[in-house]
Amino acid sequence: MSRTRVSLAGIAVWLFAGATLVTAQSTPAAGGDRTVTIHFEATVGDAPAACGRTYSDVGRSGSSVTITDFRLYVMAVRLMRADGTDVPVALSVDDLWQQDDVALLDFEDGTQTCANGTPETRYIVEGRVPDGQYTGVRFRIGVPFARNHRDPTLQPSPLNLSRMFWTWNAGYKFLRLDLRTSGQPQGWVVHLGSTGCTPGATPLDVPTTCRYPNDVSVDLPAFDPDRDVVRVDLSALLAEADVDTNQPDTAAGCMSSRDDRDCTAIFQAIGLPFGEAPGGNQRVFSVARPSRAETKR
Amino acid sequence: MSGTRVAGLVFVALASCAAAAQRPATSTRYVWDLPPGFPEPKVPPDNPMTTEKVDLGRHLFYDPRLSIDGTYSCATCHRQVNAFTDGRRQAVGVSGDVHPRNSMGLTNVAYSPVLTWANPTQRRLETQALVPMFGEQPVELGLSGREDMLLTQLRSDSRYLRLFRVAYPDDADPFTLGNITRAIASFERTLISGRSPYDRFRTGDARAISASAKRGASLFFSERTECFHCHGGFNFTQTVDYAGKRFVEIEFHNTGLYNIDGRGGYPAPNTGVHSITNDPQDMGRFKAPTLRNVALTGPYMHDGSLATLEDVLAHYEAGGRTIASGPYAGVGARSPLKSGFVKGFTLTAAERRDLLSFLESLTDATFISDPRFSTPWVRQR
Repeated sequence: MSRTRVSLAGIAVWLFAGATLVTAQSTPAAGGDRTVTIHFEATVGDAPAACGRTYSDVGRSGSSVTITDFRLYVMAVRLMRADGTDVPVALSVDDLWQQDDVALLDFEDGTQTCANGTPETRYIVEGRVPDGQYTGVRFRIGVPFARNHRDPTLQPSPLNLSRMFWTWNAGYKFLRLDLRTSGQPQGWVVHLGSTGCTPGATPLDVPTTCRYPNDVSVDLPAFDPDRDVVRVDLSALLAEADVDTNQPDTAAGCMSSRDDRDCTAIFQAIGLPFGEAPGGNQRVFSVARPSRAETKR
Repeated sequence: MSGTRVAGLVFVALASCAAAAQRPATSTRYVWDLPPGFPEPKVPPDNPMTTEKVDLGRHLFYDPRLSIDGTYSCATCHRQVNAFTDGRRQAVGVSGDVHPRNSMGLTNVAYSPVLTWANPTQRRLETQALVPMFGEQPVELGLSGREDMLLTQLRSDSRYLRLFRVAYPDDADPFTLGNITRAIASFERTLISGRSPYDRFRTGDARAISASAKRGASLFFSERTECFHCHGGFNFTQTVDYAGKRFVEIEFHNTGLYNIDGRGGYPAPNTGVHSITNDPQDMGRFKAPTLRNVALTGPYMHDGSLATLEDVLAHYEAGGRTIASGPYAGVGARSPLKSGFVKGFTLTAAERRDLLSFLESLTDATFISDPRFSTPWVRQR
């Protein structure tokens, strides 16, 4: 008897929730929409970036490096039309890789040098866009401000991975690239995230502002989502960096600290201002066109 | 209208589910055992205090499974005998990383509206616990990327099966990171100290402290030394919060401990609030910690660079520390960023002894021997 009541109540809740969902999804009523999958690849130059491999001649010091972690959050993904307008990609929420407007890309597989990682990998961002022709893509590397400064243990996946926590700084690492280099075998890393954050008024408040948000804007105007791949080239990220040395009394590599000059070349590569150096266009993300024989996944 | 009906149905559904679970568990509201004159701590509404959570948190606090190789726990750097500090100049993490900071004591941490030495964004014990657990710069407990390993280990212990279930009776699976940090925070909030000889003196026992300590108290609370400006109030720090307090007060001060560039600079990475906000005005600003149990918490200052309380007094007598040579050379007393209250003063040898006697009278012997705050695992080993 009470069992019956439970299931009836359950159905009522389910119907209610379902109705809400349908309403939300059917908002762009004019015309249809379609699934879009944006593919990414991580490389060191032209070689695929993978755990356990050694890459030579990386950075200004011509170092040999191995990757021990590489993940990043992508948000605010938009597809551009030929007429210059753009539309948001409504990310499909899978409670694993994607949540709201943020998606995790994961280029490590937990093997070999990436022992602290996860076996799962992720090279795509998935969502829906209105039907139509798209000629470009833009997105940001980062976590939406409203989500960036909450208790991460209460956040859904993919915002609950401890390797991406940046709790000392009340936020997340937007991008983490961990390396071992010939000159810094203990590690030389790039951890990008917001710094210079000031607190809210009460203990339950999140930071109200961050002087250096450090989210990265990427515009790729010539990109066909049905054919092309967004390439993340780590050799471009590190091109002007000396990954064999570390400024004394600072984090190993660049953890976004303003007094760490190891960040200068990294921030320049991703188009962010740093110290005296102004921001500009990022040089790390580009459009790659796979050959016809190559299967996209 | 239909919303109300749905909500009602949800309630029925939840109630029935709870009834269907093993047995209706109840949480016991934690009853504070407060020293005379102490206000009730402010507790975040999303983590109410229960005896079950406190008990679980105590087990977790003392459990070396909370480190990558099973050798470290929270208590490694927060030892009860040292009023929950570690006696080291700077903390050392599980992999040997030397922390830039001195381990901060947990005495009366429930009253602190801001945590750690100099991080204005660190406002809740629940989130602060994630720093030692998962921090990588420096590595403390070394759990980054290992939360699944940690949860698996805890889940396989029958003692924890019971502790988690009773602490979180409404959770289908209580083994979550958030439940770990909530329990640890709940335990930490119970670490209340206010039964020192000075407290007995304060509440009417004129013989509880020596004549020397009484003279020291007068010096401490004088405009001559100005100690109380930053270390005032029942918790001997101005940065304090509690239930019913309407304004949250958070203070950070530059005490002239360093002046490496003539402009008030502190050596990296210990630049104080500046290291978080990047604001040049925040250079060298640190939290004034509680002075309760201060005789047990040396070495002193954010970097442990003053070995004894005598050294601390000498620093404040000089109105800032002078370092004659080396990379940190500089005259702290001339720092343009120094707090106006650190103006220097002169003490006789007898007055210095009096101030030390007063500071020692803040040692709460019941706090460091209270079995409620000690490890629950002794019999297991």
